[in-house]
This record gives sequence, C-alpha cells and structure tokens, in this order.
Amino acid sequence: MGIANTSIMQFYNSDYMKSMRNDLLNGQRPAGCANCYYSDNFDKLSGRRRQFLKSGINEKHFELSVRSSPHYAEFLHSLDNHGHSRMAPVDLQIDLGNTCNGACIMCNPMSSSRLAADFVKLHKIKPEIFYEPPNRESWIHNPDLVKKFAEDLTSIPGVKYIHFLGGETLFIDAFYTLCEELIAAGLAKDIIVGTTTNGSIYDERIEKIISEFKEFHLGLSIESVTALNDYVRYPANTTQVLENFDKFFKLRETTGLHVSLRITPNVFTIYELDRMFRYMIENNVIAESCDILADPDCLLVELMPDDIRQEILDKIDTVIDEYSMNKTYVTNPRRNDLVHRAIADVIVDYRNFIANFSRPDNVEQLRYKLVDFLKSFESLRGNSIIDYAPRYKDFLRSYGY
Amino acid sequence: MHQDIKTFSDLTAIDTRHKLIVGLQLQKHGQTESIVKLNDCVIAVDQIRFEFDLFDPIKLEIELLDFVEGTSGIEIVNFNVNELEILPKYQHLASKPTNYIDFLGVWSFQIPSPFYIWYHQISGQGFIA
Repeated sequence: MGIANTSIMQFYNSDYMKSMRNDLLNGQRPAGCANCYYSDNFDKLSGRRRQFLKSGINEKHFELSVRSSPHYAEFLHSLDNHGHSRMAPVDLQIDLGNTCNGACIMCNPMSSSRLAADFVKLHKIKPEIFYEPPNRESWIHNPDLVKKFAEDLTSIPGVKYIHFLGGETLFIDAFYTLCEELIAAGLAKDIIVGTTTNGSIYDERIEKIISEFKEFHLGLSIESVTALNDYVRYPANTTQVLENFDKFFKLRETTGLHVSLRITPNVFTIYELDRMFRYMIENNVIAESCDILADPDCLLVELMPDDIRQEILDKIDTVIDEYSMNKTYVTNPRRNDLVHRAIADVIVDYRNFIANFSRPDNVEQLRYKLVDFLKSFESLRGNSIIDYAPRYKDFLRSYGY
Repeated sequence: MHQDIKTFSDLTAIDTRHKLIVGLQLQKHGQTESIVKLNDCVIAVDQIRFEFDLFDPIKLEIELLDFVEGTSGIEIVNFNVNELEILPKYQHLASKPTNYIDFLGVWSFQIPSPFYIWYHQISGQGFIA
C-alpha cells in the first residue's frame, strides 16, 4: 500500500487503520503508542492526550467528557463496524521522506539521508550498534506522485491541520509545491500548517507561504544554544542557526507564524537545559513540550551520573526561583497570551522528570555502549565530545572513552 | 485508556444521570435581600451541592432586591461543576463580569449544554475536529 495506488481516504478506512481504531476502542495499547504512554508517566501532555482534546475529551473526566463529545456517535459507529469511520481526517501528518542536510547523532537513517550515508560506514565500524540502512526511495522525487498527492490532498473536505515531516522540510522542494497547491486551491486560509526545521536554511519562499495560511506553526529543532549543538546536530553551525531563528522570531510580528522550540535533551544537552530555558524566556518562545529522548538508548538522559544530575537540578531550580515559576497545566501552548505559563510548564515538567526518573536496569551496559557510539561517530567526523561537554570528561573516561 | 474503565464498550453501559455535580458557596456581606436560583429553582444561600444530568444546561441567577450601597452585597466565593472551578475564574463570562453582586437587578451566569464541550472551549483547549 502506498500513495501511488492508494488515496488518503482509502488508507483512512484501510484494514490497518480499522484495526488500529478497534484496538484503541477496546482498550489495547498499540505498540506505536509506547512513546506517549512513556511520557504520560511523567505527567507530560503527550500526543495521545492532545488527540483526546480534538474530540473535546478531558482525560481527568474521561467518561463524562467522552459522553459529551460531539464525536460520541462516531465512536459508537466505529465500535459497531470493526473500526470503520464515517469521518474524514482533519489532522494530517505528511511524511516527505528523509532528505536532510543534517546528521544528528540521536536521529536515524529513516529520518535523515545524510545520516543514512554515515550509517553505511558506521555499520562497518561497529555493526553491533549501527544497522545497515535500507535504501529509501522517497516519493517526493517523483513529480507525478507529488502532483497526484497534491490533488488528493486538496480534495479532502474540512482539513484543519497539516504537519509536514522530514528530513529537513525547508530543504525539500515538494514541501513548497504542496503548500503552493493548497494556496492555489483556496484552502490555505482555513488550514493551519506545521513543520519543523533545523534552522540551517532560511528560504525566502517561506515568507509568502507563512502569510497565506490561517496559521503556520514552525518548530525549531535545537538541543543547545552553545557549540554543543554543533556536535549533537552535526554539522550544524549554531551561530548561523540562531541568526535564522531570529529572522523567524521577527516574522511573528507580521504574519500568523507561531514558533516553538523542539528540544529533545539527551545525556549531554540536558546539562545545558537551564541556558535553553533562559533563551526561551528571553525570546518569548515555548518549547513544544517536554520531549524525552527514548532512542537511541545509549543517549538516554537517565544515563547521567548522580553528581551531574544534582548539578542540573540546582541550575534549573535557580531559573524556576528567579522567575517564580510553577506548573499551571496549559494545554494549548500556542495561545500567545499563555506563552509565559507554557514556558513555566515545560520547565517544571523537565525538572520533575530529572528529579524522578529511574535508571534502566542495564545502565552500566548502556554507558559503555555510549562510549562506543560516540567514538564511532567521532572516527568519521574528527571531533571529540570532550571539547563540547567538558563536564562529562571524568564520567566518560571511567567508561573507556 | 483511563484507569477507571477497561474498554470503550464498558463506557457505553454507564448510567449518565445525575453526573454534573454543582458546588456553590455564597457569602453574604452586610444587609442584603436576594433571590438565588439555580436552573430556575429558588435555592437557599447556604445550599452547597446540586446534581444535574450530564446534558443539562446550567443557569445561576442572583437577583438583589435590597442592599446598602458600599457596605453590602453577595459574593460568589466558589461555583464549580464536577470540581472544575467556574467562578470566580470565568467571571468575565457572566451577564455582568463580576463575582460580587452589589447592584439591584439580576446577575446571571449561563453554561450551555453539553457542559464539557463548553468547558473545553472556555478553558482554551484548542479546536474540536
């Protein structure tokens, strides 16, 4: 099944989707939902919980709000019809393939063509850590498929939100083509578009696109505001990235652009999280949510040693005290009037996670794996984590770095 | 899945009557004469708990018949539905945006049905698809 021979609406009621709906209606936890359930453990507003909100469901008042939902009759219909839905999708996540100019160490070949090229070499260096990536043919390089998909997309009634996934979306021509088709079809004024960028590119075409849509939500991927970001999001030039971010911040003043940071701290970048929080406050920009890295397992935040953990908590507490922050449970952080509260929520969420996480049972094994993982990358890139995260020198040395 | 239910099928069997529990705490200040109504029924100022059907609209009305200017009035200390605070938090949605009634006439606060969809919207939880 693929977009060459299946329309979006056909897929929406495919056996795969019906089975997924049926599982959810019957209280199952599909494997694909694991990340959200993991995040729920830390009281984070996960994607799963956000989808509840689109049906007006308040999870703390689950039974009553489901009953009250305008979609209640549709839930019953799906339950009685093996997962079939009479509705049309209103929220689309469109995968534009893995074309990317970055090769972040925590990414994977399915999401980065440049990292896929690295993995071919890394697999030869350390096959027990790095798999040999499969060739990924992306539909975006076939103009006929892009055209067919654009026609399909513009024929769905009532679409409210489209999120484009990459790769680096702003590096992909099909992204601009699809947006321009939505504009030409007169649909843009009713649609909110979202995507994420690594900040390496500022293409002026984006200014017109942003101004045509009802809203444009741009996630800015960054892990640190220091040179550590260059190492983690290789081969980023963080100075250039921050300059481009400033241009996007400025665009907020004249367009419907909403900007948020997309941070996923790992064992190293978590150390500089307080600086990231200060950057958020200074630039009035939220982090989309308290994302917690789950893969690759050797970069888990939970691998940090106790002394560094305490140091990080102290630094975050200083920010919380300085700005008198507390948790307020903002569920719609894209409301401009709630930015400060949303920032506070994210900071407190991260603080709670760092204070409360449990280490995995195989933490020692993962720390040795971390060192092998880094050394493999560094043999290709000629850099050293010690230059970017000197606080971790003793910790890494003790595991063979 | 919420911890209190096992499957969606179980949910459909739940009796939904009397599922909106309204809590009300009023405080009289000084000398006042008033009529307080909840869904058109006159209630005593010291009544604090009421039950309604899940899909009932809710209307709180307070009519002040007499008071002493500057020294008396009725304060709505707390008005909640299923322990979700409605007043004083959302007083800007009342007929007159206050939770302290010190004027002659009728002050009212109306919640249309269904309560949970109204609450979703006024508390800024984003669009419903």
